[in-house]
Amino acid sequence: MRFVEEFRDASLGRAVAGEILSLIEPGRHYKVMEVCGGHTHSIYKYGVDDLLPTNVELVHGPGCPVCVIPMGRVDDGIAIANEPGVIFTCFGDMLRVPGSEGSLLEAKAAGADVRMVYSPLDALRIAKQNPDREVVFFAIGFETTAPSTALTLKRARAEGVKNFSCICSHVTIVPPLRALLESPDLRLDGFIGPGHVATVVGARPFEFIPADYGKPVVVAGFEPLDILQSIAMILAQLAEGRCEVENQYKRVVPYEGNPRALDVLAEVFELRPHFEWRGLGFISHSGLKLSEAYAELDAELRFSVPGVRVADPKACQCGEVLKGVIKPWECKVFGTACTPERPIGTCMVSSEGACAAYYNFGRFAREREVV
Amino acid sequence: MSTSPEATPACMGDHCITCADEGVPMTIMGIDDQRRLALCTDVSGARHAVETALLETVTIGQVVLVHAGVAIAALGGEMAA
Repeated sequence: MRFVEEFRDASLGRAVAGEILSLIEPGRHYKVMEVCGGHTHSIYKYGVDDLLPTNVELVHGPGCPVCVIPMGRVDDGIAIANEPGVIFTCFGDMLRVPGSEGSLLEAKAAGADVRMVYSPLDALRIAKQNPDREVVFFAIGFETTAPSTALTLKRARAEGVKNFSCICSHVTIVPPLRALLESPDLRLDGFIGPGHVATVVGARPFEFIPADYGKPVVVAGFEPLDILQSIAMILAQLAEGRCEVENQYKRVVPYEGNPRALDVLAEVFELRPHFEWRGLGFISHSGLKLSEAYAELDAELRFSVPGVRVADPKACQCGEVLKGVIKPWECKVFGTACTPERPIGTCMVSSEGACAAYYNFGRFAREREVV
Repeated sequence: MSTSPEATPACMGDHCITCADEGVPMTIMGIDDQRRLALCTDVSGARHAVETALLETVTIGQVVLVHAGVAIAALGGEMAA
């Protein structure tokens, strides 16, 4: 397929790796955060880190939509799924995220009607096929997935589908990045910006990172050459003393984003005053809820939810992994008590989670000595 | 917890088959303008009905980026530097 194979060319990859080598300053240690879990997945799937000099370290950021969902939010979803007559729908990886008393998959095994969908539009279709049942969609994800939920809600309202509603756990990427940059225990040299979020919001929202914190940002695509080139662009900025937002993913990302998607988001959602992120705590204006005009489709208003904050299991160190403070294999339960088959923490659930990426691609321990 | 097929990691291909929060490039094969839907194929040849309301124009043969059943961008606007 066009726009895919040409960005996986091995000889070009080696050429960009050589360019990266020429840009580093001997003796300096570089820490670059890839914000998006999709980048983490690609880095380990394609072995991108093996092409990097040992003093270029990749730090994994909080951009995995499943990983940042706190346990209490899963409990809210399970409470609705257990309501009589409810068909509860969600993306597949949400099924395995542990709540305080089990996962949605376990609720399904115990008799709740929980179904996996690939799109909220599939959930709406189920609602139209089952007019005598209440169909609820568990909406998660960043600005990439939120437009899909918004379009579905618009369609539900336009078609008068009364038995459909949504428990909204959509989040936005800029507030947690600001929280990370304020964190005293994290020193970063630059950011690989989230390409698909930027498809919707554009590259402009990331301008605060160079302006306020003096760190370069390169919005990047998800193929191995995209990631290598974005690292080279960050290192070039550092070598030349520049600090700005650059767009490596121009074949997809317009600098100003997708205005139609932004319009539909503004119509359907509004910012919550604060939202809890797993491992990062409460962050102001970082979560979305349904706007007043769409309140009738809000499952949190239609059903009773516990809304209780639940602390992570003591053994789980997802918070430190999400903040990039530790590597997945440094977690006490990584690959032993916590595996993709039986996850304790969210980072082991989704393919975009750093722990799952390390586990699935055989990174069980430190393999590269960092200078 | 038992290990059902849904509980096993199934994310080793190009794209996770269970998590919809992933951008998938697809080629448009057919267009239903009235319903703002397009019939698309992904890199494996699998066919999908995709919502196109967020794109200004769609054409047969165009490659689009699909997130959770919705095309959020057309590819190729400006190739990478």
